Amino acid sequence: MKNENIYIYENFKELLSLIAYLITNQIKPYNIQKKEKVTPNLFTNLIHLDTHTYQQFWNKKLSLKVLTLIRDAYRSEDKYKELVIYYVLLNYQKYGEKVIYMRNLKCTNKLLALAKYVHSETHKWKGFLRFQEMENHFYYAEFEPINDILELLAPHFKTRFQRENWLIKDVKRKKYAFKNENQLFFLQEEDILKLELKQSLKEEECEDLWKTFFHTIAIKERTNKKCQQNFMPKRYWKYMIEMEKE
Amino acid sequence: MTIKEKLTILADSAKYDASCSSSGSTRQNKGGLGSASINGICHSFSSDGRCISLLKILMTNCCIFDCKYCINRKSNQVQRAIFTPEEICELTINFYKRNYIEGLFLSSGIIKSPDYTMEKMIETIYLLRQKYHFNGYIHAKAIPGASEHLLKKLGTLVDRLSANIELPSDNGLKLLAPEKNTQKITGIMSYVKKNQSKTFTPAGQSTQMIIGASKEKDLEILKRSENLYQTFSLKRVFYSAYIPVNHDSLLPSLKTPPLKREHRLYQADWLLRYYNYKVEDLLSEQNPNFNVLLDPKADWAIRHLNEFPKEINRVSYYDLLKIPGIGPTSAKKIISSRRYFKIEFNDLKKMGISVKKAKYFILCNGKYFMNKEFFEASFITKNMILESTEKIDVQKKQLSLFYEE
Repeated sequence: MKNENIYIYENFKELLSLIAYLITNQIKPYNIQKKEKVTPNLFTNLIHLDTHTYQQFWNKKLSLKVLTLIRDAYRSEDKYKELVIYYVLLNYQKYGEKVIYMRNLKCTNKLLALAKYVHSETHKWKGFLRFQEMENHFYYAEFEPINDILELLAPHFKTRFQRENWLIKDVKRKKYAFKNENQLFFLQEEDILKLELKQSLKEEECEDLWKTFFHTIAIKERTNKKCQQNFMPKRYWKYMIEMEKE
Repeated sequence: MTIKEKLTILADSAKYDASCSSSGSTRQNKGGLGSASINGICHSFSSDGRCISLLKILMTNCCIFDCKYCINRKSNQVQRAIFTPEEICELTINFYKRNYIEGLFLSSGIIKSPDYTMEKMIETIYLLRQKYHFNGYIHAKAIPGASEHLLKKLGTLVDRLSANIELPSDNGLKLLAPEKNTQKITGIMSYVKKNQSKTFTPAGQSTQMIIGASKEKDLEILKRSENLYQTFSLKRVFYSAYIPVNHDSLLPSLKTPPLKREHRLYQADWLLRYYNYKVEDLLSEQNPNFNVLLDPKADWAIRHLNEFPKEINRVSYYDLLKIPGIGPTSAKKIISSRRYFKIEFNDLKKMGISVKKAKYFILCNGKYFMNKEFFEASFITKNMILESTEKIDVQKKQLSLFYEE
């Protein structure tokens, strides 16, 4: 059996240089993967190249529109997102910016679908995220997004809650968005010394009032749990205090 | 009475208002708390599948009116409660800071007089904006019969102001809500229309009517909506399937709310607002009610088969919108793509456009999806009904409702 080449990269910037290298040298990769996600097996060849000479390759070449689209699609957890980006950029070399309208290309559709998924998930969390009030008027929220969207979500709450200080935790990725006074920081687990947050005295009562409202506002004669779940799939329920857990 | 007891009574009384939208405003946060989002944000969904975006409550459910369909009518023996302005502010702020809600939807029963009620509502919302520096979304119900200067004051504080038309015809209103009259309600609407600006009800106005409590046909209802949209530039007309809460000889006795009818009206309403349809395209004196089995657009298309099939690589945006199953999103996708390649049937699937309904009405690059001799009204009707999942759902829903009783 022929060995299959998987190209390895460490971050988004390196991915773009790697793709530039592959395109320039006319190499068709079997797959491209992030270093920490790779699981080697007998039939795959892992190749990690030094591609820093290609760092400038896309400068001035990529329009902001295409770059943003790629950056957003990259936030998804799709197994083949790097290959999708590779093929879109390969076609970009040929067709230029119009590649993002050429929906007869599989890679274009996939890229647009991934970006849309990322945007729609971000929008949903703007509504479904739940903060708890901690002591000293500090607010804390945990969530588990499917896509890597903390950086897209946090600015929304920064404009909305200007006087409040808060922390949002992406539980699975162990990432934090921390808003203090006028500044927003993105932190890793090791940056957070030790979290000792205690709920404020009012928190329990307020949660109880919200549950009361939530149950009262439903019209019993119109009960339609399927419709409820279509709009608000179960994966969002974990941190929504009004939803009963199974 | 505790806050929790009050909230139970006053949210329960407010739940029949269909609107919970928080869209249309771009109110910014000027160093206080909150901001509006132009597209609106849903914060939860209740077990009836409706979006929860706003804290929807009545200021009080005490009322001097005796509208037949209303749970809070004067002659009903129900528990009454009243929120103080501070209590409403505290609830709104506490919910908002935890991201439970997008803002407040304040309505009220009428205490003492329409003016007194409006003054109390204004006091509450003024406090919320000025003392609590709240910049989130606020939707307030205008009280029919209140003075114009109060309407003016309220309009500058809120994002959306609305007055419910309640019933689709003047006769219905006279019969079931004798203390309200159409002029009072449309008076509010024309005042809002005249004054609407960035600083006065930036998100415009909406209204609501109850479907199935009085005898109007779909044609009359939709004509009323069309007229309201044209005359008062309303953002939305909401339809609310009648749910019997009172017993009265003037009211129909329904086992289940007419949800299917409400659904058809919403579909048709969408066609009026976004698809350039007129009421007379959809309904007529001979045919005054919607088809239960087919959605209004499919029904229209089958009655106008001579306009089809449409070549999707050529026809205009508005012609694309006439194709069943194609909405603005799909139409835009088609327009932006077909400049670069000829769209074939399997391209539509790749583009994420559903052809389940559309396939009967389109040509892709000159080709029909099957033998052209099947392009014929009865064949298409039969197949569309067979392929529809909608109908079965409704039967199931009605069945399960029936067993709960």
